Amino acid sequence: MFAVGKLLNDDPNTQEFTEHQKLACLSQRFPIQFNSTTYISHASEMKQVEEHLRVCLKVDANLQSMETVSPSEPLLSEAAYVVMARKSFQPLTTFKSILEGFAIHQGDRGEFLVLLLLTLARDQTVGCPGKNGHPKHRFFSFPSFVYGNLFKASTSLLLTQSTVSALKMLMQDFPNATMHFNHFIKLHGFSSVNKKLLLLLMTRGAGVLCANSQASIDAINVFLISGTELQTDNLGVVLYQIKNNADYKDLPEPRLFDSMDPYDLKILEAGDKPISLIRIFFALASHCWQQAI
Amino acid sequence: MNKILLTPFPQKDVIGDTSPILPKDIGGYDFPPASSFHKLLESLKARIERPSKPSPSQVKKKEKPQAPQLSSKVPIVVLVFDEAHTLTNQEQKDENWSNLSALQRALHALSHFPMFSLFLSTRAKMPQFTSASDDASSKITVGALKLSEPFTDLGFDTLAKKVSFNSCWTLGFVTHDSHIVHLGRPL
Repeated sequence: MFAVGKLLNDDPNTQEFTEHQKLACLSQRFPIQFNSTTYISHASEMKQVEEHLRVCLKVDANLQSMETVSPSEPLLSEAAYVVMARKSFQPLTTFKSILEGFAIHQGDRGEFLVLLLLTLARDQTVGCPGKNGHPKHRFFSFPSFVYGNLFKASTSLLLTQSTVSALKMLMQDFPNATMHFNHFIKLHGFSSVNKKLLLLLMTRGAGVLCANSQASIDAINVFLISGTELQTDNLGVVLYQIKNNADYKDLPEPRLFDSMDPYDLKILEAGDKPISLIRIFFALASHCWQQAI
Repeated sequence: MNKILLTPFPQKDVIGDTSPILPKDIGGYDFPPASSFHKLLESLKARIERPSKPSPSQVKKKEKPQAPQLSSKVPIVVLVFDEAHTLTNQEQKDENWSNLSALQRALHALSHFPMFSLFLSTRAKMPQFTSASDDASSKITVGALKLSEPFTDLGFDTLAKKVSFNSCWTLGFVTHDSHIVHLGRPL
């Protein structure tokens, strides 16, 4: 609750939030970047630094512009989870109002919407925070995350029969798989993603938003195939590709999934053993609303 | 805003004179703050060492409650002075005396007690905390005592444990408060 108070710069038990407080919380879950060009937008960015733990990386010589980030701080991500679980927060409405109300980078292909969906699915899987702000466990069952929260069993009418079968097979194949993340960080290079780095990021609860123009993948999560021991040979990877283009329809295209190859993407080196891999494609602009796996 | 952590509490120079620097009547209990602090310490020790009421599970198992052990390495009292630059007379440059210099002398007289002092500031320039030439104490000016350097630009993950996948790191460990509070900046 101390971290909640620091993040909100307010009473940690408050139920009413300003737009700045809401932005501060979402910024701790995924890498929202400011796109400030006017005095008013600069003022908003400075307010985030001054009051809501955003970090200033650089200020130009004439003090007219600055570069800021919300760095990877898992404790603050947990604080944001506590705030976002309150009924008055309304994450989806908040996300929309923040995109419209602040000069922030909205993403090129709907990637922030997908990161929000993944984050909300994680929060639902771990459950609501208790009185001390902790969920029962911060790590969770991977099958429950995928089939139950990311793809809801209650919306199975929207899932094709083959998709339901695929999801059930996932539960059979990985009955003891576990997962942990509470925020996403943005990488700025293409060559830095490998299995050891991904496992290290898991130790701080960080998923990955890939660098701009990264080929074939846009985001990455990892899971442990069995149990909770952090070992590279117990590692599984979830690769996400996200498109907000109507050319990509609801019917899966094998070539798109084939392009998400961990060896081509340098996640694995040539001599490495294959690892368990889940590939998910989000066709956000598809006219037909359907989930297919 | 990030704060600068300052420790203006003068320390003995390890190379210099190691004899007592202040008269015993100041460092002893004749010095009113020392006498008061001694009473506070005795009271705190009594509270810490007094066995607390046994928990229901201890009653059931007929166990005796354990008193916590005091360590001589851990301070029992921590004093924190927020925005400590207000203790200085930065606007009056000709003035040698300041609330800070008086406080430094008083704290030095209490240095044999298990106490630790933290001075926090958001000001970037703090010559009166860090510069020996600006200090009112001649012992600091001549080098018999030295000022601790401030902690600035603490960075991120300063306190983080180094990850080793050879040992048994589990999700239970990396999701525990004791792990995640060490990641990021120290709050």
